Amino acid sequence: MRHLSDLEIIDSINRGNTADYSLLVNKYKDRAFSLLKRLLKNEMDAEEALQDSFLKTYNSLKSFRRDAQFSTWLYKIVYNTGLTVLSSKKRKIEHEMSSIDESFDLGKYDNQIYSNAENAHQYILKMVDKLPVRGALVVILFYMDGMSLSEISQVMGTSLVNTKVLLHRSRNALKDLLLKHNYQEEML
Amino acid sequence: MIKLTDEILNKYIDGELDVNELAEVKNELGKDDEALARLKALRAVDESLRKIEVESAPNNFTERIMQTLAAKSKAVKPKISYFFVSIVSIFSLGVIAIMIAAVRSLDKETGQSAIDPFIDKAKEFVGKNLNSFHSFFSNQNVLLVVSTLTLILLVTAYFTFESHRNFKNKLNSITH
Repeated sequence: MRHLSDLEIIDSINRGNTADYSLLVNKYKDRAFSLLKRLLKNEMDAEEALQDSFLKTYNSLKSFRRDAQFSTWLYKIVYNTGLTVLSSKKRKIEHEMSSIDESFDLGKYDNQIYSNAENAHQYILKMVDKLPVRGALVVILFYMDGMSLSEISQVMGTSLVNTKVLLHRSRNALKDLLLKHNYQEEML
Repeated sequence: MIKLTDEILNKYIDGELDVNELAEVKNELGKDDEALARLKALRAVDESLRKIEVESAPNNFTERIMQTLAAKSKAVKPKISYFFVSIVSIFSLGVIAIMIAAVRSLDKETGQSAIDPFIDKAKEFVGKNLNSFHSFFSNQNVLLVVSTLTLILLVTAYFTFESHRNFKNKLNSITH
């Protein structure tokens, strides 16, 4: 079977082939779920937000403007839905989300995670979850989804410069921890 | 001489340095063990992050989404447009009135109509009220009825076009 592009699938759905939406859901559900889990730090909330995101996306499909990639548009909906869930849970995130001057000091988590991690790679991945939310999201979108910094800035509504600063700070924080444990020689 | 800050090292691993900067950084790294260790750690982080695994969405997630969408589409009942129902009703009445007027005119000319026996039966059935209805559609009134219906049709057509134009503008404002 020929592989359909996102735009071809969207055209088909808009022509009335509703069932084709399952192709888009299958393609993006795992990555969107990974993003939401990192954002919400709770599996049930992530699942609920994932469902809301895909229903919202379906309902807005006709208004999708093709000047951006579908994936960028979808992730923006996923990200904003995640933020809505967070604010509805009344978690104290506003100050955390309002500036890039978030604390990238991961020292307080280091002992526990270092003692439980089986290897350096696992240690790094567990530490990603301890990064400030936006730092972790930039890392996920950049590495896991292969998005460019420009696309990430569109998804998160941040400037390109701030997005790059978030990525560098996240990597630097993880780098400092590797140096502390002298993991760099072991990993390369 | 270029200073080997974390920012420069990040740009180095992202391939964002130009040829001159790259040569300079490589030269400096050969002389700076501490910066080299930082670069190694940064590369280790970069490589580790490239191996982040995607987590799987819950089982049957796609099926659940498609079922929800199917249920919602069934729940949405087609809306009855009372405006258009009114227009169609008025138009239909107009057509009926014109047909009756035409039949009556024909009767006057021929003196005898083929539908007279049916009218007689209808008269018996409906009773006296039909006489007033019948007289209303006498020749003197036909012109008035047709003119009134034409006016009504023109007014409804105008409102139909206006309504269509407003709807189109609203749709454009939503999509853009």
